[in-house]
Amino acid sequence: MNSLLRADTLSKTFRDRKVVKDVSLDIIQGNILAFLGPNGAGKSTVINMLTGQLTPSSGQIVWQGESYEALPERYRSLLGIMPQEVVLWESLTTEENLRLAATLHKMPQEKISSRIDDLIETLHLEKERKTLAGNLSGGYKRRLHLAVSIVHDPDIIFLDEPSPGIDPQSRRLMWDYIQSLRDQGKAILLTDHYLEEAEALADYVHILDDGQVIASGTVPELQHQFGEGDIIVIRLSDEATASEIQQMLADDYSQTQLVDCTVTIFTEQGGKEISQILQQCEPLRDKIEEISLKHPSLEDIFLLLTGREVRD
Amino acid sequence: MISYRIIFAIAQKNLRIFFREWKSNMIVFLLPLIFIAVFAFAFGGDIGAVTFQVGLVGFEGDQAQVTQNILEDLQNNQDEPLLNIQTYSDEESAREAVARMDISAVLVWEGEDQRIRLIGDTFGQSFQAIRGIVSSVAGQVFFGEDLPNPVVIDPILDTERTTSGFVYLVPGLIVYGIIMLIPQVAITVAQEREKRYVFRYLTSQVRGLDVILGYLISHGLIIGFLQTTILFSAVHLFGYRSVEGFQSLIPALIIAVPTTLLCVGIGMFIGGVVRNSEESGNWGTIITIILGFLSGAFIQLPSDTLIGDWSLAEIIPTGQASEALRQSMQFGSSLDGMRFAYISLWAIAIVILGGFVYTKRQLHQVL
Repeated sequence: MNSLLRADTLSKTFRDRKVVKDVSLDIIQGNILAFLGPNGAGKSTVINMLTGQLTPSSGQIVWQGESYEALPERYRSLLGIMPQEVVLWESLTTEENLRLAATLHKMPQEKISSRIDDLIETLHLEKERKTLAGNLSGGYKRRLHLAVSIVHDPDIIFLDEPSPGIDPQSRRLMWDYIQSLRDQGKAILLTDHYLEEAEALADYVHILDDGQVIASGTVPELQHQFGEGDIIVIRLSDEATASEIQQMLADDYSQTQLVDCTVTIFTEQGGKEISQILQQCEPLRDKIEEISLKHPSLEDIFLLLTGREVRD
Repeated sequence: MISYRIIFAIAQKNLRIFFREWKSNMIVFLLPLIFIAVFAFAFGGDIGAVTFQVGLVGFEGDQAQVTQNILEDLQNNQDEPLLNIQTYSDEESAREAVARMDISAVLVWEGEDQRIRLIGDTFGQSFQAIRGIVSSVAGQVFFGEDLPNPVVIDPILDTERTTSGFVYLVPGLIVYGIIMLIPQVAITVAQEREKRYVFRYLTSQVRGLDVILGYLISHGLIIGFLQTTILFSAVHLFGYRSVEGFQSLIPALIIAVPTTLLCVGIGMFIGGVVRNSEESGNWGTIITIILGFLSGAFIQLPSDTLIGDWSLAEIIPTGQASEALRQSMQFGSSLDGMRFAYISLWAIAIVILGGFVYTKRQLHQVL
């Protein structure tokens, strides 16, 4: 596997506060790396350091084997960055936005038109080719935003929540396109709060909390490592009963969570253990409204690792 | 290294945005035109006169062929407006007639120097029309002869009239139109950060200097368009006539170049130091109004000296620009190199300062 860009024990301190602590990660050709974490975990700071917009306090950026204290400017055009917030020149048309972005990256003039045609066709933007970006609907805007971010055909692509607030059709189109970019050999770093998206796309996941990587692996590896196989979810009629059940099961199951009237239990073999749990809960059976068994999703693991406390 | 492709792409983008967002940007064109309309109706009293009163001194007594030719041409002048000629025995009585406003100008024939001395209120519209006709006649009569200047101007200044003359105000209003760019540039610059367009610069091959040069090109062209619009409107809608016609507008266009740079630089400085486009608009407007008055766009400034021999209007570079435009458009003077250099030096200094502030404060990490 060819590592294009590597963060080697990167740290960043702002006014005596260490917001990123020894983060190491590899951005690999033909791979999608998901970089997940709650708000304020330090994701943006890591990305800013990787893209050369911030200088790390310590650690190094390794670009194809060469180490740097900060990413040199000459590599900027080898990166394509799609921020979460849509950045389009609203008074320019779809085509003009793409042409301007390509020119700002000094893309060879003779390649620009064919590249624009290709992106417009692949991302289904033909109908709105001459429409001002400010007049596009949400799905078109997001797709154009992606196209503008990668019009210069970069080797490494940073995607920050690529598809929030758009319809399922547009989302699927974007996902297919992102996967096709991976298949073309692009290295992709995906930052997301929408964990279903990360689960669908990522080859490898880093979970960041409080400035440090707390878990890494493929989604099945994380499921195995942290979810122990299955999740049993019990929904009760009231919070007091839910709390009572959690305490009752605490001795047998080390990983349980209580949220409102719901108890979530992480087990190794849920199919076998569900009947045992039901037996234990027998005295409170009347108060159980629903019980279900599922494999833990990336979101379940994320919540297990980072907790349910709301972050700013 | 700067990239011409990037600079022109940014300039093209700025122009497209400027004209597509015309509803909010038209104020740059409209305000000077509104002022011109108001001043034309308020102070343009002598516009529309069809016959101009002219006095002659020294023509009758001189029997030289050239004098007779001039006299004949002036009397037979078929151009509109026509001259109504009266002969005076001496210069003093003719000057008194000008002071009484019985006539608009006096033509004194100076036989020894073979030239016409034109006396009158040089700020008056009628005087300018007469000057145009006389210059034309003299040009025909002396055609091919090696004379330094067949028509010399001997001004009688009526300061009360000059401060309120429409003709006096037009050059100042053109400068005011250029000054109006300041809030426009400041708002655009602040919006580039607000709407995070700066992000696209930061994550590409763009340098601060590319952005600044792009702005100078786009807004230079906008000013060219603005100047043409103002002049066209002043001439065709409100009867403004420059002394030497189109020829006198060339120095005006040249002087507009450093003035535009200066205003773009001020706009970038404001856009660089403020937090958002609203603040940009507010500060830009305040500075535009102050600079407009200090440049003598609306009223003639007192000529009291402030620093050394320099008055306020002379110190302020846009004041110098107003005066330069006035000299060329009103008196037909050629471009004053020193004045041009003074404005240019200011423009370069302000562009460097504005560019530096913009790069340091706006072109930085936005993710």
